[in-house]
Amino acid sequence: MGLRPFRIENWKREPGFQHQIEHIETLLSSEAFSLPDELDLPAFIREYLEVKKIRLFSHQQSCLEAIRQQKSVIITTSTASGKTLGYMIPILERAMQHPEETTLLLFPLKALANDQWKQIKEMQELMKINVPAFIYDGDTPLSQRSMIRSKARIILTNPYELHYILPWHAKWARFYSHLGVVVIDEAHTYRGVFGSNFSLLVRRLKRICHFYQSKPVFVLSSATMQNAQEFSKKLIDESCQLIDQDGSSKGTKHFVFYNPFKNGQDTRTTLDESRKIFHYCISHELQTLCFVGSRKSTEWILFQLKQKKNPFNQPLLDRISSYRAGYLPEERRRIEQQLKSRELLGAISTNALEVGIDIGSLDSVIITGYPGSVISTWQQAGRCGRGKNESFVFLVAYQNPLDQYIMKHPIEFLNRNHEHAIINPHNPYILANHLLCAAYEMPVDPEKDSVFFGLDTTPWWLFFEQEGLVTKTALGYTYIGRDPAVKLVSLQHLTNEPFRLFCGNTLLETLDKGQVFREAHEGAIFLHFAEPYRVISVDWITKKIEVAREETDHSTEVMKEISVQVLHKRESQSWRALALQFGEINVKEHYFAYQEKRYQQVLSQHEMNLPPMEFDTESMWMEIPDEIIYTLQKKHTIEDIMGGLHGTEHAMIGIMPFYVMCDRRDIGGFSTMQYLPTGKPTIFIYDGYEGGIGLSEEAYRNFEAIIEATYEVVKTCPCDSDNGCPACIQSPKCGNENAFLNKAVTIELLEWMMRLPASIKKESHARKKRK
Amino acid sequence: MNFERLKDRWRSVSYYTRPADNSLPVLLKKYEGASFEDFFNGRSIQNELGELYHFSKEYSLARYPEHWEKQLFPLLSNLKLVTGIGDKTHQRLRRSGYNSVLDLQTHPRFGKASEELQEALQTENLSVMLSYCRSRIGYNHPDLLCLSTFHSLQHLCFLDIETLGLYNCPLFLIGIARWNEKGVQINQYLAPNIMQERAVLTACRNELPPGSILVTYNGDSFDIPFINDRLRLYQLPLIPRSPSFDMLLYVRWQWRNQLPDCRLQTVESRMLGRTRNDDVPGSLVPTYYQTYLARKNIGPLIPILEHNQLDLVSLMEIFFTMIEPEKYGTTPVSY
Repeated sequence: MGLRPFRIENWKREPGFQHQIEHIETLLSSEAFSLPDELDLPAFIREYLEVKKIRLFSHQQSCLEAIRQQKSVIITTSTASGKTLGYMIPILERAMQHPEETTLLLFPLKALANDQWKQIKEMQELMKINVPAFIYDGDTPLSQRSMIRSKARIILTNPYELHYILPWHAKWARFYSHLGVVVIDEAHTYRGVFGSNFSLLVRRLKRICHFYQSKPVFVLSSATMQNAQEFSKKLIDESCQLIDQDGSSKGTKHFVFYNPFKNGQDTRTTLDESRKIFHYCISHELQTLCFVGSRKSTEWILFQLKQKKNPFNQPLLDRISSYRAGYLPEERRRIEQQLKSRELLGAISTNALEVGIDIGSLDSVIITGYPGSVISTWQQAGRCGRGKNESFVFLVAYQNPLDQYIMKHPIEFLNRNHEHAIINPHNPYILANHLLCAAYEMPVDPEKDSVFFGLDTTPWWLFFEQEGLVTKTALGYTYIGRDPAVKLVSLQHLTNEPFRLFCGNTLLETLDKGQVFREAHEGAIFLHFAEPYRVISVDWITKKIEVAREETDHSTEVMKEISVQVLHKRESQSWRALALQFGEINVKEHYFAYQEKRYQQVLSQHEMNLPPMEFDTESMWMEIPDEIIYTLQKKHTIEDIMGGLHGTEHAMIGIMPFYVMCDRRDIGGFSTMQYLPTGKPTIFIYDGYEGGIGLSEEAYRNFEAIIEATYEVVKTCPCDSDNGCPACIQSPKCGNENAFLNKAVTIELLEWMMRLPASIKKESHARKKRK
Repeated sequence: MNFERLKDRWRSVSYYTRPADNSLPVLLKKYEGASFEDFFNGRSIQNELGELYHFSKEYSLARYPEHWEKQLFPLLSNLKLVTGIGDKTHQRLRRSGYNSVLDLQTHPRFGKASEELQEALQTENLSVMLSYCRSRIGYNHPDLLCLSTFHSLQHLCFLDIETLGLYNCPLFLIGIARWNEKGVQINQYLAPNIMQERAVLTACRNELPPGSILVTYNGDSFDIPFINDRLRLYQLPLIPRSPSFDMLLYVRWQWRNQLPDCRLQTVESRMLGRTRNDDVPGSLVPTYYQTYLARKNIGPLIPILEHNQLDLVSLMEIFFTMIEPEKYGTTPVSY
């Protein structure tokens, strides 16, 4: 039998693969780098490092230095570079120097907290020290909670639990009074709505610490991102020292950009290409992890592989498994263990395996479709190649503008320092929720406490008082609503009473109103943990949604009519004589029907009777100057020009995730030949979340990069149809079924928009300064 | 910032939007234009932390002790106080003529334990005695109540508070009742608005002399920690938790199986034979207070003051009932 070892040169020449390879980049290995040792570590740590044969890398050393100097840090070195050790060493050092000091470790997932707790326990056993460390979360039994509160010096928990227990700070007085370090692990996951909520939770925590007279140092452990320092300032309201030079050793990594649509559209599909690559890799003894976008896809690949049964393949097939979040915890632990021990040669997984859990180091990773962010891409790619061996990453593109753009710009992609992580601690709806929680925890004095929230909150308190939600005490405003504020505020949502999705009696998820309109209306096929469910009924009053499991490969897409109204223009700039504005708008989205589809094919259409969804949000918009329209009118009809605006809107939204950490579904767009108040042709690009979470603002500030990339995508797209293709101007969530699109006019329009002389003048209408 | 959109979100938790019961408009009308001075000797007083209203009223009780003196027999006759004596031994020893723990001094087996007990009792420190005895006969055994006789009746302070919620919110009324020779003297301290909460807390602390013993209903779990949480927030000195008698615990111990529940008003009706008319339900107290604030009409507070007074009166009578079980019996009315 004899499996030949994998060699990239051989793979490149395989007839089935060679014509789709866009580019292969070889990232060279690097040696471990440590600073000259002048760390002066205490004996128990030195001995531990000797026993484990560890020499601290440069970034771990820097982290130690910073924490010793009471400086908050953000560490953005790659996965498996030993970030955890980097912060646990200084924490344990401090713990032994200051016998009263306490530490708080926050993880976004319980599984991570569990993993971490085991590691800490192991470390302490080897170091022969005992700093009581406990997990305190929803699974902690009531009978133990009192003991933990009084004894623990290290607490591992998650944001949801912290949110609930912060009002009980009187019971945690000892812990908060001596809080020395707060660790926020996987900090990059705190973005969007969840991140904005979390950032306010951190501000509440800091206010409580202030009352108990402690000022902990923060450690943010994160994947690499473009704007780490800006992000950390927004997340924890404090400047952090950036540690981004990775001193760990790395083997050679080959990064393959594989495009099934390199030569235009034929019969290939992305998923099938992934399968072929996966099959090839494991046949050549590479332990491989294949990431796909949905549970259905994991099952499909496994099914296809098992079709090809023969004595050669069977032993291989026994060593493959699928993996997804929907599996029971025991099953998941088993698969993780088998990957670590190399019992399993291959796994096909949703992005559930992207995050932290230790599965050892694999030989290769296949990423099916750009995962939506550069961060996710590197997280997934980071699953292979820890250590000295060669490793291989295959990025397989889908047929959409973003993936295709990446395929054509591999070097730019690799050099990108990752997107901007976006959060908005000033989103008014989220802020209101957390101000009320803060008032519930401890009276808020607008004069003294506004510093924790970054703006003058006085008008808010006057409003809350008027509504009977707070009352003034000698110490400030205190919450007097009927139910505890924290019970009504969910960190995942903007609203304080999200909709609840039930399958039978089991609560599956909670959703914001917007999500209900768009994804969970009656008749919709809703994906929960990548598994399909059919929405049976929606009760708008009790906010309960009833769903049932359905085995199907159909999907549903809403059709909508949008109208937009500018409420308040905050800023404007001229970009090459385009008038760009940014401010608040009111959006009315009227979902009048939905389509049931199988992949791209529409099977049926159903009317819906929903009230329009209305919300205020932030938006960027641009007016197309008259001259451009007159010029275009010489050759095209008004309808075609509309098709050009529409195409531009779609293409820009499609490209945006490359610059702003979001999904294209987080962004809404609206274009019109006549925006009524002004009569001008206008394109709006807005945040799909009430109050805005910073997406369109980022687009406004990075407009040049975005429009240039947009132009390139549409211009170079090899499709030759009049109304484009999914790779350029068609959008998966177009409310008008991608009708009224015109590729040629889109290109001309973009050319005119970009050709006018570059002159950027910013007029700021902003009265409020954003930090 | 347009706050209009925020209104909808929190509407359901605001007390303003909850339809209160029908009494509220009636009260507002009835007491329109009235002031605190018109009721219960109301007068405004000032202390270093603010201004509050003080009300006082005297009640005569249906049940009260005619003599009050140090009387430990009910406790001492419970031989289970001695380590090692359980139910059966207690019965056996009683039949053999040992009526009190003091008699056991000469007993070969239990003499030593009996002496230890007496030493604890000789400290005359109520907290010490309570904790020693509690661990032996049960945390909430009614026989423990007679330990209160170590102090004069004036030392007993019966306490009940009214708040704007269960946790992390302000209180606005503290009622303290004490015995004077003629009967009960109730003093109530009301915050005319929440800014004066500190003044009320301080007035309450001043009212409680050192060495006072707090008697409450559910106070060990609610009233006393609540007051202390608020004191801590304002960085004022706390009141001691102990010694205190939380009558709910004793009531439960005694009547758990004979009453549908141990709420104060249930005990009041089944043991004391009293029912109230038109009493304000506890869950509406916050709404009433907030209505008073919003409308500047004292009407809603009058029923709250009365409710607080009746609670204190019942609390005292329950205490006196349980401390003299032979006199008042221990059987609730049954249906």
